[in-house]
Amino acid sequence: MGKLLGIEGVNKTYQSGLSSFQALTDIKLDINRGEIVVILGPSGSGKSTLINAIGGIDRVDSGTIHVDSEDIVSLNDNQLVHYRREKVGFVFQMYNLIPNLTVYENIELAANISKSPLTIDELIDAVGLTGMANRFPRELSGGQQQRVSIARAIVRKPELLLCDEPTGALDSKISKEILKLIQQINDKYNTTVLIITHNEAISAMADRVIALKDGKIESNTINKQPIEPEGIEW
Amino acid sequence: MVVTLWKKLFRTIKEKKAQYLAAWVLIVISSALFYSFTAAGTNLVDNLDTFYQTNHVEDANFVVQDPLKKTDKLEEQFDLQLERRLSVDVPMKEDTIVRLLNETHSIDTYSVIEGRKLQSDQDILIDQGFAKAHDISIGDQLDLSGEQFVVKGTMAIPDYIYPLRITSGFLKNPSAFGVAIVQGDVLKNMPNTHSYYSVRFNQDNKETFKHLLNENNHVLQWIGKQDNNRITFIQGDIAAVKKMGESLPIGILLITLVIILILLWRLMKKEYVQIGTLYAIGYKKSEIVRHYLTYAALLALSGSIVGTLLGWLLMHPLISVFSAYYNLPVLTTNPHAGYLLISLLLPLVFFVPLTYILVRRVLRIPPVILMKGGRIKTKVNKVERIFKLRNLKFAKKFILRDIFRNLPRIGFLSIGVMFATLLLLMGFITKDSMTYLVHDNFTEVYHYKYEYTFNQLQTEPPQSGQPASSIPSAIETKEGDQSLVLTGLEPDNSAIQLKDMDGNRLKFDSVIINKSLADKLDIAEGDKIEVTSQLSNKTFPIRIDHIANSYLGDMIYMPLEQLNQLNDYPKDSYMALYSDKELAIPKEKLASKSLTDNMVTGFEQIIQPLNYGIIAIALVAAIIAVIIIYILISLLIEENSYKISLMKVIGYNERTIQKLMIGYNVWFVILGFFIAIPITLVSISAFLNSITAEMNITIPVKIDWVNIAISFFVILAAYYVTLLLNKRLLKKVSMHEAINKSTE
Repeated sequence: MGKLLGIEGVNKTYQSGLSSFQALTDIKLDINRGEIVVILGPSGSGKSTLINAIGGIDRVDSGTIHVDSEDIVSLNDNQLVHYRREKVGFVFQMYNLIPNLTVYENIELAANISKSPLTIDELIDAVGLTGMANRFPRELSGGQQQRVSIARAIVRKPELLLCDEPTGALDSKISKEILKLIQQINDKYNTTVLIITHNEAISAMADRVIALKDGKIESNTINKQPIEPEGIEW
Repeated sequence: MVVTLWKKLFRTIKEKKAQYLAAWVLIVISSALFYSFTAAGTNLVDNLDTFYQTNHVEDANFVVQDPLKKTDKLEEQFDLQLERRLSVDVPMKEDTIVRLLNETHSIDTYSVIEGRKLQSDQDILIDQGFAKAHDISIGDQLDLSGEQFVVKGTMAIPDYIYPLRITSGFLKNPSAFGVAIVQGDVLKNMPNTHSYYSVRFNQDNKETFKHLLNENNHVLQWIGKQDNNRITFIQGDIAAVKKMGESLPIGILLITLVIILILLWRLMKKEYVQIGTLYAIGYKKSEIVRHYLTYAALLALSGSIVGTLLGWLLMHPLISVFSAYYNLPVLTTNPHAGYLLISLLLPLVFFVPLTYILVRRVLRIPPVILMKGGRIKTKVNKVERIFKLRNLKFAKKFILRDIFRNLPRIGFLSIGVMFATLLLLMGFITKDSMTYLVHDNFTEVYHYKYEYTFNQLQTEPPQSGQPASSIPSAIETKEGDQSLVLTGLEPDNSAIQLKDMDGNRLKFDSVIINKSLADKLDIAEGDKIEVTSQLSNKTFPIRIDHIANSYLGDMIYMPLEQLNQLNDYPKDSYMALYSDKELAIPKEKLASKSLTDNMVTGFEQIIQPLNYGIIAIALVAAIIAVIIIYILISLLIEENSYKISLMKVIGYNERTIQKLMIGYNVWFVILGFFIAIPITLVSISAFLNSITAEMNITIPVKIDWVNIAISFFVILAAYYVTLLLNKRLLKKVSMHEAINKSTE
């Protein structure tokens, strides 16, 4: 299990008028290939900023972020697009599906820009949406929409799956199903998974738990005995 | 663009079909108008040019005191074509005159529109407008002045393309006047035949030719092609068709462009999260730009294709109506590739660059911000800060805030309404201006029924009627020669009555210029000008004493005595008589006799189709107004759906919400309407001046306040129709929206 992600001395400040806000301060972090990492922290702790920087949709002020030995901080916009296409899959709290595309088409949207995507029909079955390929997001429950979002994220077989509060809008039963699905993907494709959440319970399923507070890493602990999502006490 | 994004595009358009369809309809209208008017105009110009060329239109026609001898020698000497013309006005029935013209061979030759050429003395060809007005068909027999003729068809001749009885007239009346061609020898044997000459110059030697004519003879009348309304009116009208085709659709396209930009801006704002997600998934900026550009490109291209096709279909009846109105044979109809291409591509050229700028602007927002739904505006704008709204009552405060925060949208609403009003008023102003010109101006100025023009100068005092003489003249200007008619009248003449700009009656013991000519020459009272007679080439100075409020023709009036003196005519001589009653003048002494009544009846006939045209224009204007207001108000509801939902939750009823959120727009609709009035007057004035530049006429811009009131109600009705259309949209805003948003 080699290192996939190496973060060194990352800083990020947001300017808003005359005031500024230090979102990340001197972040240093290594993540191994195939790990499930849970980044914990309250609102404003910098966890979304960190995951956006890792995903190449936000830039940092200083420091390096190496993914597979490539420093994505030094990449230009076009190279970042290429990086996101090849290596990253995003899962969002509010699913961010295109409302007027069907389940199949939402996944196809990501598959279209991949050289060798997974088979969409198989993926729909794999995420538990058999028979729902032609439904529109409004015809699905929150949990089902999140399954589509996950399928869209992994159809390009990304090395990194970045999940921003993936269960934030779901009840505990559905949340466990979603987490189970994420774990299955991790198992099946050896995808490195980063989950950001403010729900401490989720950290029980992680290989590594990173706690963020006020933009700084408070703790970085290895979970020696991660449990199955079904066993998480909410 | 990837296939899946195409599906998204079509479904988005389908979801907002009313808004996109409305914008699309505007593109179709503008392309259809552009192509039909410009292609029809160009085809008419081509046909007119070909007709003038192949049928050898004259450069001038003239009357001389004694018939010309050895015309072939003159042709050789001056390198010109000269042809003797014969004409006789024959009454067909009461108040209906047919002018019989002899068949010509080298100048103003005729073209058969329907039927066959003349073959015998009994054959006659008539102009198609006259044939239609009197229900004359091929094979009919006509008894004219005791001679029996058989109608062999309809024809067109270049010098009667617009069949006016007199060359300075401006309204044809096919019910009362028409022209017909018969073989030359027929007219020689008919009584009262009038003779004149048509000439075509190959060199610039008009003046020397005229000089020679005056040496041994006397040129009594000279009418250049440019002063002959029978020849020039069609050019002005075609120019109007083309100008209308070039300007009106551009206006509609500009309005549509703004609408589409607003629609796309709103769409992209709504899809910030989706755009951010596409970024996150790995879509390139260029792919996203292409996707949103496709909306504009698709609307532009599909609209322009359908519009151009409609334009093509519309072009043919337009040419037919025009060519039938003027006596013009349509020889060929070409698609005119240039206009076809412009019509197809113009909306695309208009929309794509600006849409590109808009999309790029949106894509400058960082993806992280996009995924959060964009930046939240926290600053209070300057205008809002200037007005202290705190002290106002809630409703006023609410409405004023909404206005201050949406100034560009409100500005566009007013501009859109202004444009629709402009279109609407254009129709009314055209009608009102024509009505003023003919009904008010004509009947105010001309107080006689009969005008008798003699074929030579008369020196005997008239037994009845008021004597006058008219001399075609010209003034040299920087832009070239300006033609005018110099008319001499007795000081106490009452057949023509002129008033100055203040409404005071003018006497003909002074030199008076009419307003249209004064405006063209930029002349004020007291100015001195040099006038050259086109009959004798003699130049003499004239001091302008008064300007008369008259727009018919380009005229200068002066005492008859002064006119005779300046032109070396015998004292007390005259060329015409004006009279209220019919005079017993021997026909052989007359060059022409005309009735002023015919002009007014002709106007009634012309104004009738114009009324239908105005209704059509009003309908298009109302549709445009409805489309613009509908789109803006539906967008307003969409944009404020959260606010509306929240108000519903709080307990506001729909009527109050409509009053607070939409009601105030009526004031901006009214504002747009009133701004449009002066703008329309100025632009119509410029438009009419440009199209009448080649015509011997000035159309003063007038508007009847009743028509302004009608336009106002049309625009207001359009606004209330859109309110009704949007009522459903307002009703559809669910209270869940506010509740869901607050729980997210």
